[in-house]
Amino acid sequence: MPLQATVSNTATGSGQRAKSDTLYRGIFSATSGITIMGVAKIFRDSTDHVLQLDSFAVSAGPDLKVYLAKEYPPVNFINLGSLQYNSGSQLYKIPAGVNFSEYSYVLIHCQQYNHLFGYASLK
Amino acid sequence: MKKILFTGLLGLLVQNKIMAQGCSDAGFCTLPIRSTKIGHTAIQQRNALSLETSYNIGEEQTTIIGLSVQYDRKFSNALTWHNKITASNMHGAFGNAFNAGDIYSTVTYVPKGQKDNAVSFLAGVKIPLTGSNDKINGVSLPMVFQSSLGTYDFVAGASLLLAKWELNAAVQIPVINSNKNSFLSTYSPIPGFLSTNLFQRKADALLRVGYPFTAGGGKWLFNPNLLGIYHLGKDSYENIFGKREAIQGSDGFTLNANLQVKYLLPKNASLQFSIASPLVVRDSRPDGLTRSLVAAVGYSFGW
Repeated sequence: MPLQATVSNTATGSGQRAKSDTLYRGIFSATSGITIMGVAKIFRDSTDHVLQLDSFAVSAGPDLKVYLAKEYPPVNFINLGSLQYNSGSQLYKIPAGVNFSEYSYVLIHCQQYNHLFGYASLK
Repeated sequence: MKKILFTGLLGLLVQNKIMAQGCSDAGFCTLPIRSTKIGHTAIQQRNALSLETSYNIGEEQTTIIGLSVQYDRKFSNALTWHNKITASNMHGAFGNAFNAGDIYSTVTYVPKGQKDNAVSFLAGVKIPLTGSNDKINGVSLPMVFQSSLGTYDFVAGASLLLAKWELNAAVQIPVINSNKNSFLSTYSPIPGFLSTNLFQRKADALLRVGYPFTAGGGKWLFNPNLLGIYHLGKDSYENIFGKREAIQGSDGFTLNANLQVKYLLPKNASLQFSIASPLVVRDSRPDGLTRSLVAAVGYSFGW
């Protein structure tokens, strides 16, 4: 069954998650010329999976998006929407049905210039 | 001489209509008329400058104030070069946005030796001044809030005088797509707008039928007309899964009713007024060009 685009990237809160709630996590690494820091965490919030960018900060960019991707640079990906803030903790709902063993990267990607800013490999 | 000038003006008329609003729907109706069978006009001079503003009501009651400045240079009775720059202010559910729009550069050509100089042609380009990805407080905006389609277009057309009727036919073809819009309705805080992430737009073809007439001893020119526009394919966008998706109902026919009025002033100047509204619209209008109302006023002078 194809994934349906029925989610919202509206943050559901920015509080810290208990470590035991986290299903997957990865530390951000930057691409050349970019500064990025923080941790990507996937947890389950009632019925939805949620991505949290924790202790996060990234260089400013014109059109930064948050992707869940199978690889980087992104070819097969899910666009979770525009990056909400360049720094600080933030949450993104994830569409139902995502297989995290396939979509195992969180990317910060400039869509307008097709430039990857940073990536985190989920473990 | 008069006939030649008139034919040149006719070509300009076609050109103006094509450029009115990035070529679609009621946008064609935005510009006031500039040609007339009787009396002087700015473009009869070697140089002409036109200033225009329009009030538009677009998708979801978004109001758009359009601004444009046009400079025309007549090289000969057969050849005139037109250059225009546009800007828009959009106000609606997302807030307020303003930006430059497009540059248009076209040439009109009136073949010599034809009876009554009844036929003219035009060709040119539209160059976008934005990537169509303006935002408000970091929030991606739908196309109706964008001042340009973000496409490099080729424009071509022809005009024909047939007894008392004016017929205009034209096409506007996107050649290079530089649209970087990132609006996804899924993530929008405001409902009612179609997704246009990395929007790709198809071409338009138009046919316009007008019946111009004068009043007040030639000081007034009225041109009631019907404008049909066929959007020659389905527009598309990239969905949240990175796949291109055709927008159902974005192709098809739009029919507009339009009244253009021109008042001639002394010293090669004129005032123009135009009001238009669509009678038939496409099922889906992701490009944000469709207007439920267009009202425009312009001033031209030549030297």
